[in-house]
Amino acid sequence: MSTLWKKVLADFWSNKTRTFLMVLTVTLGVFSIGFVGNVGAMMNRDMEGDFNSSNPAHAEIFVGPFDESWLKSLRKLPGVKDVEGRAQAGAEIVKPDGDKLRIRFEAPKSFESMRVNMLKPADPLTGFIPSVARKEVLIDRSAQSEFNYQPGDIVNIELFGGKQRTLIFKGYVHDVTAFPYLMSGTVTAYVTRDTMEWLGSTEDYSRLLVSVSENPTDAQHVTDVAHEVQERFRKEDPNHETEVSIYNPGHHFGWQVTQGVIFILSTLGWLTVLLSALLIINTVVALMSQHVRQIGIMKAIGGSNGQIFVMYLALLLAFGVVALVISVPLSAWISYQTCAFLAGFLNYERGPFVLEPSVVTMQVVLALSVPLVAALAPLANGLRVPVREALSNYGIGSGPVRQLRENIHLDFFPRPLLISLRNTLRKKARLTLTLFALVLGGAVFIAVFNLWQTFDQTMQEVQGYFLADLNLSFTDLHHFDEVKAIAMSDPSVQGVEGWTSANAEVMSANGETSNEVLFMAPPSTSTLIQPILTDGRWLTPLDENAVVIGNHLLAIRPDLKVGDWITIKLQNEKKPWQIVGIFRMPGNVSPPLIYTNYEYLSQLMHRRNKVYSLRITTSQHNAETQKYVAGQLQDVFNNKNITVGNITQGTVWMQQQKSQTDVLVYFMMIMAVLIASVGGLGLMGMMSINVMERTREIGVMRAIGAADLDIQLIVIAEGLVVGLVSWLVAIGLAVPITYLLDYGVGISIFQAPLTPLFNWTGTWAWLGGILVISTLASAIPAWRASRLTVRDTLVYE
Amino acid sequence: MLSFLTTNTPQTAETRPMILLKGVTKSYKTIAGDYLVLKGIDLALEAGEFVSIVGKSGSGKTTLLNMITGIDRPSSGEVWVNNTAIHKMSESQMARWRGRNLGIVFQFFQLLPTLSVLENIILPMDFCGKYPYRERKQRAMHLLDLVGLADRAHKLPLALSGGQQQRVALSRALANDPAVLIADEPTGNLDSKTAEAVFELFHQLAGQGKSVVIVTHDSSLAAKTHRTTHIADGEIVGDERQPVAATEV
Repeated sequence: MSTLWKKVLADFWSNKTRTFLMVLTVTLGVFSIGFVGNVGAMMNRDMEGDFNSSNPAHAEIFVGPFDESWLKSLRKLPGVKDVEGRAQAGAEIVKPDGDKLRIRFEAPKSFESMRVNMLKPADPLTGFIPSVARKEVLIDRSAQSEFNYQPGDIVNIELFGGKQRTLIFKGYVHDVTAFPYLMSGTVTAYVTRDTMEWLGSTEDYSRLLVSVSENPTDAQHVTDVAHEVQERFRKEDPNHETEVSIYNPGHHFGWQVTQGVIFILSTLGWLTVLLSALLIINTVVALMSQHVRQIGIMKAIGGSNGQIFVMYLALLLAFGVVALVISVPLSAWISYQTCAFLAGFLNYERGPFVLEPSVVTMQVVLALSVPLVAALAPLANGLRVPVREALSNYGIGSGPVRQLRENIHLDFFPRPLLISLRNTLRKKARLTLTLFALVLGGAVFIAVFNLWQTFDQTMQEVQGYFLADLNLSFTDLHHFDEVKAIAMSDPSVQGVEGWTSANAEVMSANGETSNEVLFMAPPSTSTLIQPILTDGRWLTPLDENAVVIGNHLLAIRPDLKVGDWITIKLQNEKKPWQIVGIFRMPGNVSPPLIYTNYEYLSQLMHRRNKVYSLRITTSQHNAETQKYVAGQLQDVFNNKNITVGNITQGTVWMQQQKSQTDVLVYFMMIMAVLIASVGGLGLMGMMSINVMERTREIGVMRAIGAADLDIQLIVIAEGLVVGLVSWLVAIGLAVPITYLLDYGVGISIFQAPLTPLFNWTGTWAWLGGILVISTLASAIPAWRASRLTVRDTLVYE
Repeated sequence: MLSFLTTNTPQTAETRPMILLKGVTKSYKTIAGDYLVLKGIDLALEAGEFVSIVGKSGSGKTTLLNMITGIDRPSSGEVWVNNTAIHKMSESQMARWRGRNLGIVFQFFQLLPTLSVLENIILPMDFCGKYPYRERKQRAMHLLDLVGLADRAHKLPLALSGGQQQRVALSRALANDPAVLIADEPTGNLDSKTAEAVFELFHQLAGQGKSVVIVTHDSSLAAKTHRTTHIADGEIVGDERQPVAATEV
């Protein structure tokens, strides 16, 4: 090996702190991109792969009872690839500890002949789905964590109306198309059609799964095909109630949100790369200033600029290569583990561990190019120093501190602290880059906390539409006064409202096409809804054919505005309605909700004073009270022979919603911590370089009486000053970043920008963080500084 | 042993002296205005001459040395070394040319701390490629042997005493068998015995036809060279040749 390369190797190995910091800095950037890239690639591959391999339905049509005879003719419709009917029923599963969970039963024609939304083995290694006979049940594996059922165990079921049934558990299955238990709070289970009858429902189908033959991801095409199918039912019976449900056809339900999240995380990942590039500039500038004499010597003994340039490029490449070797497997492994969690959460099958070529390529390019690109300018500057200057660079450097000393009187500070303060400002470019990294890291950190607060607020906004403690739905229509009186008989019930809902279609301006909507009709005097209006007004008791539409309908019908008259088709009858207001509801809602008065809608539907559901407020609004009252009401209504279909507790529903946004915040927090770590590394790098460059000064201070602790405090105080300044600036920068983050997250996940909120939690948390980071980042350089002896520092050479 | 050093000494038929400075001035810009360090230096040194430049601190002797080595450029005038106008060369051309034609021994040795003693000597050969790759290590060992440090070849410079580092620096200066050897206070950090050995070596090199130029403020040392040029306030104020007997060590 030529001595040129030996020198490169020696430079790499001789200053281990510098090498460690450089490698770690590059590693963090390359890791961030690898982590986000791998998670994105693995999720898209596995989630979509698993989903599409189940031959998923692109549209679902909920329709009155129909049988197998319908399917043959529906399959012949243009654009239809396949259709399949499913019988379904709801009930509650009684856990061994007495707790009840909602359960939704599905029954296909037969498990062997499933062609759409196909079930898969819970464990792909075993590769089989247990056979199911009458009174036997399979449960979707997403609820596996709730139970400890073994094949052959008894599963206790309580039907609406209170009847008890026992099923034999046959095993778990994987239904990638089902909304997972962790998110919905409903267990999905599969039984035969004859079992369905035994469970109080019918063998008839009520849900039609439709897969299209082409353009499966084209929502408009899928809607058109679904409407064709819907029309076929209506032709047969104009009063046949149908409801079409289409949500991101051809994609897993989590796909759209995932894309948004990955985009935001990628942005944060690239930010980390940018910050590490800045820190590399700092380190290379310092490296050049430390090596200026060595470069001078090499030039003096015959080294050309080209040769020396190549040597330093090789050194930087070495840092990149080591960072690459660490970050590629590390990011891939951590991504794979993260995907295991996400696969469980979103209920898809995680694929085998494979290094993603595109991500690895990106990491290779970054690891090798970022250090080189970042170092080009400082390297060129370092090589430009003439040999004479390079070799005559002796003595204690005089930094540009005159300005501060002359203009600012800080005499009230202790002298050592003054040294720290003045030291801080000596290398302004270095300080600026370090501050930039710390400020950006801190600002993102604070902004993520603000986003968390915004999520909470958003959840409260959503809750404004679902204020009831209990949502109770019946299987049949009942007189409101009657069911209200029964409910109010429970002393814990404070208030009862009767709401109704109905599927309808908002016709386009030319009347040729339509969009599915869901009428929600609270009583005109309802106290259980607090909408967020963005335009117009809310409903008044005098309103009749007035509607308040929301952001979800506006997303597909942006032409609509307050004052417009629109035609709505309800129960095959078209009527004009006027838009009186526009509300905003965060989250994905399909079909879009439109609000009108209960009194008018129930009259229109010939259901005056009748309700399918009650919204109930309880004396206490906590989970325990809600759960207790829910049980009591179930019994009371059962005793009156009124079948309760479902009771949802407000707190449980809220917790499920919140758990989804919390996952998102955790991911952002990981990225914020990564960015903050880069900032911390930057500070550590700066402090190490500062100590190295001030070796002689430290020697002088020791010679005139500075003890170990004095030297350490001077260095640590400098680090803390930089940290605190960065914290102050970060508070300001967090404001625009919060706006950006809330806008990006809102649009990509909730389809509407979030309203930014600011609180002090993130600011104080970051103050704690920056104090710890600053202390840690300066502790090692401080310790090293205090180890220097006078002889080392002054007698050298 | 010394014959090894002369294998590639260039034997040119140039008409110019080995080192020629014509009307060289050098000024530095300072806050107080331009500061003239060299004021029209004319100097000619022949091949085989062992010359000392003597002057007090601040007299301009190191600047003069920097002119000859190309480490610094004249503000005006010409500098010719080994028949090459080095004042016209670019920084990069200069580095390569210097590596092949000049050997420099710095006052503070300036060895690279991360390379071993042997590697420090091989480095100029690697830069200039004057010797085949396989010969470089052998040549470096010979040069170390010449200064009595072959047994320290694999030590790092910091593990050596000041005198030993000076001798390594001398070996490195000879790595590419230069026609001119320049040394700044070469014995300033050496004990008297080692200093004498170094001077003996300089004489032998001059005897082989190399030009050896040293800078010193010690007139007794200067008296041991062939010729002493005195510099004061940036001007040559004396130039005397010693009698032959005086130069014998």
